[in-house]
Amino acid sequence: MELDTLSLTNFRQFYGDQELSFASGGDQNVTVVHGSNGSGKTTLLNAFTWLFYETITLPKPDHVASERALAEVAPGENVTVRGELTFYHEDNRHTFSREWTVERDSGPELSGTRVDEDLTFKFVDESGNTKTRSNPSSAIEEIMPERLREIFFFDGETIDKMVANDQTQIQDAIRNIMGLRILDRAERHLGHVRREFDDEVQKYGSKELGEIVERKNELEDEIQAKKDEKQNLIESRTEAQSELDNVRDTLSSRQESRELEERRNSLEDDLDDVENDIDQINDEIKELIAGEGYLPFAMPTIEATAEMLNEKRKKGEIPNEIKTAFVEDLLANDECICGRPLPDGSEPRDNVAQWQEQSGSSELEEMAMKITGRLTELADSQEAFYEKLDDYMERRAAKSERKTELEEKIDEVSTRLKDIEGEDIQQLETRREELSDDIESYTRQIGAVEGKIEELESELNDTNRKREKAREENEKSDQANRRSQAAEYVATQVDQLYDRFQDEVRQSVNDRVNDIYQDIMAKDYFIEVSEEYTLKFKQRVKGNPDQEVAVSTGERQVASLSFIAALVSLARERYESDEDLVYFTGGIYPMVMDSPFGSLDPEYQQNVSQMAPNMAEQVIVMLTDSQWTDEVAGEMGPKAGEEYELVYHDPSEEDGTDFEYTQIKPVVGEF
Amino acid sequence: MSASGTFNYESNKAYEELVGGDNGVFSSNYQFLVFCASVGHARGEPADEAPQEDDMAADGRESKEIRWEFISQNSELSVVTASLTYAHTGRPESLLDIDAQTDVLVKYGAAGSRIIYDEVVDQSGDNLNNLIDFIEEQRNDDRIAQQSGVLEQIQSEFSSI
Repeated sequence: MELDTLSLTNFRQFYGDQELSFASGGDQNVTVVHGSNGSGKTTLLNAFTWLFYETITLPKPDHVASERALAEVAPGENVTVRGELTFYHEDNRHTFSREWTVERDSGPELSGTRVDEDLTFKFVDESGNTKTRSNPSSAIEEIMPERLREIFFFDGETIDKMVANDQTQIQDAIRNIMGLRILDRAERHLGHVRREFDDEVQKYGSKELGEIVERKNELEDEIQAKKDEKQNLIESRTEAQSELDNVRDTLSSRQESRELEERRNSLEDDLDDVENDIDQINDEIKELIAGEGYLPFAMPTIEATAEMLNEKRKKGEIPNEIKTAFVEDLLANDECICGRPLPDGSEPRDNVAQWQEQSGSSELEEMAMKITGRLTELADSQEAFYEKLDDYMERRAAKSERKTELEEKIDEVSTRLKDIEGEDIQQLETRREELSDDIESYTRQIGAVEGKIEELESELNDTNRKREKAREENEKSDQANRRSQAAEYVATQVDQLYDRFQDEVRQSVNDRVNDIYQDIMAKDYFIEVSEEYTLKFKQRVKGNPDQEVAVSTGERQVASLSFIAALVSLARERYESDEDLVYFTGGIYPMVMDSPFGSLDPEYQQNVSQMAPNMAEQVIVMLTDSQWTDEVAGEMGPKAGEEYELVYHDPSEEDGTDFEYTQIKPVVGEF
Repeated sequence: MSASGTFNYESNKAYEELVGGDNGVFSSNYQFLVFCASVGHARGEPADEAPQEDDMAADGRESKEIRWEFISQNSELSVVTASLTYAHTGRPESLLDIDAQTDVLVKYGAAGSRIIYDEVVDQSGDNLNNLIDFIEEQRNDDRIAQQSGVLEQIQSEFSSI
């Protein structure tokens, strides 16, 4: 999607007809929109989301029509509110427009009610013919899904939260933008197809097979229901975590509680370290038991074997001077070592044959020597095993004691916070406790649901095995059964393919995010896009697992920007690649940013300004005058292909109008 | 043992809980099989029934396949397996008899895994801590010291051959 123009008519404070053209491609791919606080930058961002999804995240979201336009008509008369975006997608020019007819309400407040709506989505095909999409909402959802709106139309003031919490959004973003949705859909479609064949099996098949298939379908439904339940729990936990972060940010920012909250943060960091140490000791214990844990149980047997072998040694059976092979050779050649013939049934042959019972094989002696040659080593290993186990247990006990001590101190901080006079802090602390408990409870419930899913999947595997065994002679059923199995086979393959691609993409995103983040921040830690699709900040610690580190709001903001830039740039690379890509098709996406430099130092603002235009085909950035610093202007100014100013008309300062409104004006010359 | 060098052993829920995964203790089934066989032998009788292929019992027992060379090529585990077999059969030839050794591993392994399931996995608390307690119960420091002396002497007598 490459944005071309945006036209607005009477949308919120954009009174009358307003229009912007967007720069794209080449060396000047940045569109800068300047505007003071309250001039309408965030409203402009909302114009995109209203147009596409009818979503407004501003106060009074139902006030869509311009107040000035409403004031110019009588109650009961209509005002037209319109938004139209033209853009290029997959080489075709598209025009998406939303038009509302709003009737002015009666009453003192200037408000209106939507009485009509028109949504159109047209595109010009390869032959130059204009065509209309029959379902505009679904069509735009395919091109730019609503759940990604915060990624592509983002508000710099809240963007840092994405890093901390929103794993669903991050996972969705990766899947959508890299074109993995096609596999997602294939997986779902194959599920439906298979279910239809299964219904046929039930209808035409034997009673036994029908029952097996019925149970299989029940199990699949139960598994899906449990997966949905798990997803809901994850979302609830994410929400709780987000609220908890806010509560803790507030506690950190309040003078009365700051010191205690900082102490708690420090104690919690220590607690994390201690818990990591305990985990590490447990891993060492596991390794010890896996490698040598059999020794205490096996040593008495090894000792008994050694004694039995020693008895044989004492009797001269080990080593035996007469080897089995030697006796066998004599008998095979029918001649004794002394030259006497050994014909069958003769006494000399019987005498030589008796040596067989007393002889020993060299392989057996080698094995006996192998066992006895390791006896001291095994005995030493058993002693060392217990010594090491004692050492680990002692270290673990000390760490556990430290853990208890830290937990008590953390509880004490909580008690002291609750003792602070002022209802507000007490309420915040109580809420923090409730949210922490909720998160713990959600985590437990997620674990239980995962266990149940595992159990159901195990039963499903058994049921599938039973189905394979159940012979079906009915031709129709047999055919449906084979088709169902074929669909299931393909679904499994697609599933594996999907997992593999998803993992590859996650790794590519991970690498790119780090490249971008390092270019901007140059820190000694790195970002990990985990298997659960959270962004984690980690530090390498020699000889130990990577440790998570705490970071500032600004660092989180840069991480979020790096994540978005990584996705946009990778998708563009894929799209422009000459490789014959079926699933990783990628695409062109803009970066539309409202006040992206909120908490950043000037150096980082400059680095972000330098990075963004290189990552995306087009960048649209909305800034206040104070955010248009020398550093930002130095980088973005030369790359700005289009530049606009939001001119705000304040009725308290201007004559001739009773209502606020904003005009979008191109900047002529240098801003 | 099959021509492909594999044999079947009885797996049960103890394997599910203690081998592999984030919470497992043992990283491979063959390590755990030898551990189970050592436990089974130390505690007494082998299991009567060999596992039936493709037959999943209600209590989670099932037959699984393992390669003999995982054990035979491990210098410590091969000594333990040979010792268990010699102690069970009383025949020195069994030290070289692969079928006898896999049979001992399978039967004592099944007995041991059932004991471990009952006394470690099917107990309240954490599997790792339960397993540590289980191993500690076997501990007898005086016996270990005495054993060391005996084994050292036997090794020394053999080394003089």
